[in-house]
Amino acid sequence: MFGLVAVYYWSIYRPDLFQPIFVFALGLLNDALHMMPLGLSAAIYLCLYQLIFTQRRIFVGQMFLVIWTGFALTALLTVAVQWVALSLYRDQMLSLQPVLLQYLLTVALFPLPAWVLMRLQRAFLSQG
Amino acid sequence: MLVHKRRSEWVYATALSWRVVLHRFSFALFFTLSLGLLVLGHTRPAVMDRARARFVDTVSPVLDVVARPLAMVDTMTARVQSYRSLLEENARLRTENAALVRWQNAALALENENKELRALLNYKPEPSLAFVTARVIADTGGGFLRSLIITAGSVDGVREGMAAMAGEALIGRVVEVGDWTSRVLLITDMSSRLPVVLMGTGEHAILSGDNTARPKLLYLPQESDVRIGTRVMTSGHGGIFPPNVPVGVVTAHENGAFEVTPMASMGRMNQIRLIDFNLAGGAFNPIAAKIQAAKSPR
Repeated sequence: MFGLVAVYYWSIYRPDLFQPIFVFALGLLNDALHMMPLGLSAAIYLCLYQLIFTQRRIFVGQMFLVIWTGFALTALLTVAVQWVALSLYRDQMLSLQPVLLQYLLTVALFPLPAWVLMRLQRAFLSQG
Repeated sequence: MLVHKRRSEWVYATALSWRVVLHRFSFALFFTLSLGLLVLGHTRPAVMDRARARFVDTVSPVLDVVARPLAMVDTMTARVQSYRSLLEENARLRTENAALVRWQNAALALENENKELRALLNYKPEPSLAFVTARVIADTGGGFLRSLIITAGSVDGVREGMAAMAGEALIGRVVEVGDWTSRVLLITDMSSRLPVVLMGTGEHAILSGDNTARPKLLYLPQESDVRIGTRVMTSGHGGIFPPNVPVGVVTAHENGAFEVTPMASMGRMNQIRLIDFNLAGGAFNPIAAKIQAAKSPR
């Protein structure tokens, strides 16, 4: 779910550079790699992108803990939508336990990729 | 001066609103595109499957570059760990070796006997199987899917339905083939159903994945005598997998279902082997031959 981290991070900090086409491409990549119906993650990522873009003021300049909590909620929403969509798509209830495990792991590890992205932003994209 | 300032503000505001409009437009465009792809995937699944395989083919060099250092770190940590436990490991291996030598003798004797008996019965031996070995470049294990992406595709002779093995144990089968990459669906995946036979009792069952690390045994006969520690092998029913390939060991009984721990450690595989069971010929595998015949005139 590291694609989600990227979408979340760049939607908050540099939506001017992170255009919808990149969100779309990232979603397609995620779908192709995880054998989901092509377009599912792309649609979800774009919705999240738009949601965060309109609510940006809440996040910008906040403490990391707030960003983290925001991510936890965003990821929960994503996982829930994915679970429902895939269960409908495959016509069977997918087991919840591995999905929840993955969700918790992603949220717990969020600071790590976020830190890498932050360093990248500071190194190459610092707004003068 | 004032006019100039107003003018620049106006230019700035127009540019900004243009950007907003453009932004909204591209969002709408790509969102519609995603939904279109979803609908297309539902109505024309074959097209989308091929598109997905192509896409994975295209990004595989990137995956490969990312996978190499990770594999190196993995080997290095394994090496460090093995240095640390060298003495105990050695002692354990000595005892294990002694036991295995005894087994080897038994196996040799049995093989001989088997050969003689087969000669007596005029038994048709199973044809030898073709192999393709491939490297794993992405483990797309997640909450929704258990699969691997490997560096061998149709160019290397990989075909859909080939059995995938790590060491001597079965791990899954090929479900998607691109030119240079293909995808192996693991036996732990939700949509994996594997016909198996239990060693000792010879009872048949279906090993059903559920995205957890331990798949469950389904459709066991009533009053079956399964014990913890029973080995599970492929039965060869259905013609997809060869018979008698080790799969796992029954390790638990929970909620009325027996859990099987796969023999191969699913999380740490770098090299896997694909076996073309279908190559063995139509007479040997009528179902697969029929499927192949139905597919080929495309």
